[in-house]
Amino acid sequence: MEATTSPEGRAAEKNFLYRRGLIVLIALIVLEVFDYFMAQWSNGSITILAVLALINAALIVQYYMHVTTIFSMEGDH
Amino acid sequence: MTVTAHASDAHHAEEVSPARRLYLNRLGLWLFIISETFLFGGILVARFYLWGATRPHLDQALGMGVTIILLISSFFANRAEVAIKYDDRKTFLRSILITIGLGILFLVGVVGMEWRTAPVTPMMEGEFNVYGAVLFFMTGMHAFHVLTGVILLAIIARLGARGHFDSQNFWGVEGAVIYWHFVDVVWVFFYPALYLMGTAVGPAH
Repeated sequence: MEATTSPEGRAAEKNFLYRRGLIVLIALIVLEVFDYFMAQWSNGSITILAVLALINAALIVQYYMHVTTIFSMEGDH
Repeated sequence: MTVTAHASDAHHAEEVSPARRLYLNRLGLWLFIISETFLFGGILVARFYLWGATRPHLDQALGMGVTIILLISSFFANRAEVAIKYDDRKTFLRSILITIGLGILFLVGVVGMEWRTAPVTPMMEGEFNVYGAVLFFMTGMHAFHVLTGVILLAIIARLGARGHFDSQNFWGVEGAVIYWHFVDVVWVFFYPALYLMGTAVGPAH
């Protein structure tokens, strides 16, 4: 998201980031519950559960840990 | 000679821009996270080597419960970070305190409840001793990191309450929050490895 300096722009940015955080949380919880049911269905298949864990981890690393901003040298998200 | 060297160091430190300093801080934290990944990766490898496609009978509701608590804590940690970057001090403080509370709740769930009710113990003898050893090592090592994260967040909350952070000076918050998310990522792998993968064997609850 493009960084803005106007108060309205910053407020909109902040709300967008709050909303995005909530959407990621919902996705993570849905995936964890899905994990549980997949474990029952697949008899604890290591491959299926490992793939689901990787998807979960990727969501956290990308949207909560902002891995892509390491080399951006920017202050914002 | 020493005076000249110190003067040169001070001059060099002044030359580092805030953006560059932030970049170096982030790089340092991620190198630390990579080193921690090797530690937890090694522990996961030990789990698969020793347990294979089996696991002990654990309380499924408790496992799912503590996992969701940790995920919600990550959401509030992210909210705290966004808030301080936009000078929303009230939301920052509230969110960081909720994150700390949820972290403590996670510790109560794992250390206070799972450790007491697990059908295996770390020092048990017999054919199922390996289940106790791995379970307590994995959860113990992770709980130790959660505890350090809680302490770190408490320090950040205290500094934040004193007005230490704002939209121009937020690295302390960002660093602590990224560490907290890393602890969450580790659990995202540990939860299925402990509770879901393989067939449940050994003594039941």
